Amino acid sequence: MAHILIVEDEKTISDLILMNLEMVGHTVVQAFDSMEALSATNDHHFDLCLLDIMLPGLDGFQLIDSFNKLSIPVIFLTAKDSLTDRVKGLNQGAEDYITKPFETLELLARIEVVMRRFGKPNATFVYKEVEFSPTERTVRKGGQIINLTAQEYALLEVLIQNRNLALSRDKLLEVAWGYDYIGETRTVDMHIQRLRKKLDWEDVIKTVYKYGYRLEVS
Amino acid sequence: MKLRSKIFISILLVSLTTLTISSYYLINRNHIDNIMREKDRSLNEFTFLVNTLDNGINAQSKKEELRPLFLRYLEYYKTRDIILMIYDDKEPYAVNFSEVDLKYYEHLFTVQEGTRQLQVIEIENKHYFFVSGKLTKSSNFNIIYARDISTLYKLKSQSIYLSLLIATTSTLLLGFLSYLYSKWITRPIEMLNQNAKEISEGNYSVRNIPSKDEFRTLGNAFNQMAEAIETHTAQLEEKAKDLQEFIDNLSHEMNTPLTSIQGYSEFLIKANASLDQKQRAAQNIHVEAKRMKDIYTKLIQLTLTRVHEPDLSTVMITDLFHELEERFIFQLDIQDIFLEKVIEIDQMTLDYTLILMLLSNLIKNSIQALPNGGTIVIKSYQHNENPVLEVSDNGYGIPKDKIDAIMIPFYRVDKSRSRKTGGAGLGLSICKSIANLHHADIVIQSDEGQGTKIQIIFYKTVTTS
Repeated sequence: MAHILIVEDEKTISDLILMNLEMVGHTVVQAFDSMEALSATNDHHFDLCLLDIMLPGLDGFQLIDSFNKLSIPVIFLTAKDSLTDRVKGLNQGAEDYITKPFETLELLARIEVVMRRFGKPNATFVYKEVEFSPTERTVRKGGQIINLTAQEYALLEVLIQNRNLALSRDKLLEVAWGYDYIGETRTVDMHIQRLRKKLDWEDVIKTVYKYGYRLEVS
Repeated sequence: MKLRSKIFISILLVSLTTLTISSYYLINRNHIDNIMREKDRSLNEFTFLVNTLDNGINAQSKKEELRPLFLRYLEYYKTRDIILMIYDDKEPYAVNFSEVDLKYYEHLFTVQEGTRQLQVIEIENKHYFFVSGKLTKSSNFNIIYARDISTLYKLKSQSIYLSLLIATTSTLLLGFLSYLYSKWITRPIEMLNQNAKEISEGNYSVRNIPSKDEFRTLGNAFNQMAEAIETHTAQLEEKAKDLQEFIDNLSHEMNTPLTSIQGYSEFLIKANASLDQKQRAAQNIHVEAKRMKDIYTKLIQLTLTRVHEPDLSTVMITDLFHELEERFIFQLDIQDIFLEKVIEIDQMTLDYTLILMLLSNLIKNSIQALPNGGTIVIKSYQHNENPVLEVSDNGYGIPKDKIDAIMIPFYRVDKSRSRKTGGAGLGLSICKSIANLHHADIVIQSDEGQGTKIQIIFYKTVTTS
């Protein structure tokens, strides 16, 4: 998973992002102002930076040049939601521009997109004898390749990317099947059951009562 | 119809009518005078003639003997183009012009002896002034005298023709002049019209003042109006801008706690989190909700102070300062800050609750400016007849270029709006509103690194002891 720098002066928001990113397996460093951000880049190599615009000292628009020089992709995460700021941010070389308030799943998905664009797909994920390899697009259990349909594979990928986070049936339909897919949430249930059976993951893919499913990894 | 055309047409109409009537009257008058003169002349001549003839006639003279006498006169008058006809009763006895038809003047024979009959008779386009009478000594003879007065009629018609010509020419000239005149006189109206049009298009700064007459007054009034509109529009724009800024700032201020609350609650619902993580999430939701409530309370206070009528009463300054000290004693203790109270005026007339709120805000700011201890002085005193309340500290101070802006709602000297150094940025806005309610001014003096002194100078509520 990725090593991510959060530059955000509001501690509660910074903590919120940190908790969510760590939950799905990223590693995170927090910086609360521009000086901390710059010194953090000296000590670490980051795969991505989530950058607020309004910061004490140098603001996000001034900071992004430093990240560009270090080839660290930047996603702006800010309350400034005007079109001019958006255009300015993207023109300055940001990979994406997310406005507050944001949804956790959306943030994770956009991070995923940027990571993929920079040739850093998810590393192979191993848990309870199951080996999920995105580079090969294969799933093995105890070394044996398990045959999954394309749809089952897509569903598993979404669950792993958002592991430890509950996904509603609607959200799963939207992400794993596509926005234009018109189907019933029963479809999701059926695919989940098949996945559980094929991977023997009855207790890993948990049902969240009246909501959806969650891949629980300890 | 345009005002210009109205002026143009009325000038034309009035002048044409006066000209026609007056010239007609003059011509007619002149004509009558001329005829009267001819009448007198003819009558005189006729009387003279009759007398002469009478003198040349003896009572015994026979008719036949008179003819040579008559003819002599007839010849003489013929050279003067005067028709003279002598009738014996109704028979022509001697005439000098034969071509005149009898029917035109037959009725003149009825003249009585010793009287004269006068008449203007038109014969074949010629006007004659006829006089008839009888000889006294031989009453059988009718004398008809006719003077050609066609020239008079010719003169009249010539005059009419001429006056028509003059009228037409002068009307044309007058028309041209009155067109120019009406254009000139309505010029200020055109100008004002143009101005009004420009103003309606939003260009308030066009200010042409018309010529020096009544229109100048109107123009001035017009300009005042335009100026007033311009100022009011500018004020409205300024207000709208301030309001927009207020809303932008408010939405930003609300956005951060909302993001946190939304994010942490989502985390609580969805994440397979540890108890410790859940505890932290709930804690943060609580803090952020409190923060929103804080902003909300401040906003309500701000709104209240903007519409509120101050509840004025005589306040003992010792009480006020004491309550302030009580409020902050805990915080002052923790940060090792010394609060000094200087009371030079004992009593003031003010709204206790609002002034307490104002001073609390100022002290809160001072405490934030003194993270490592220091002194805050609250003071009441008189300055130039005006009572003053003052809060000063020896803390960070405010950068010179920021002093003007700090009264703006949500403004914070620290651009990032970090919460470490303070609330929503509404405190001083509230202070300003409260000061306004008391007709008081807030004067801020500050040196970066030296400290800040804030005076509230009361101008109207002067009560001291």
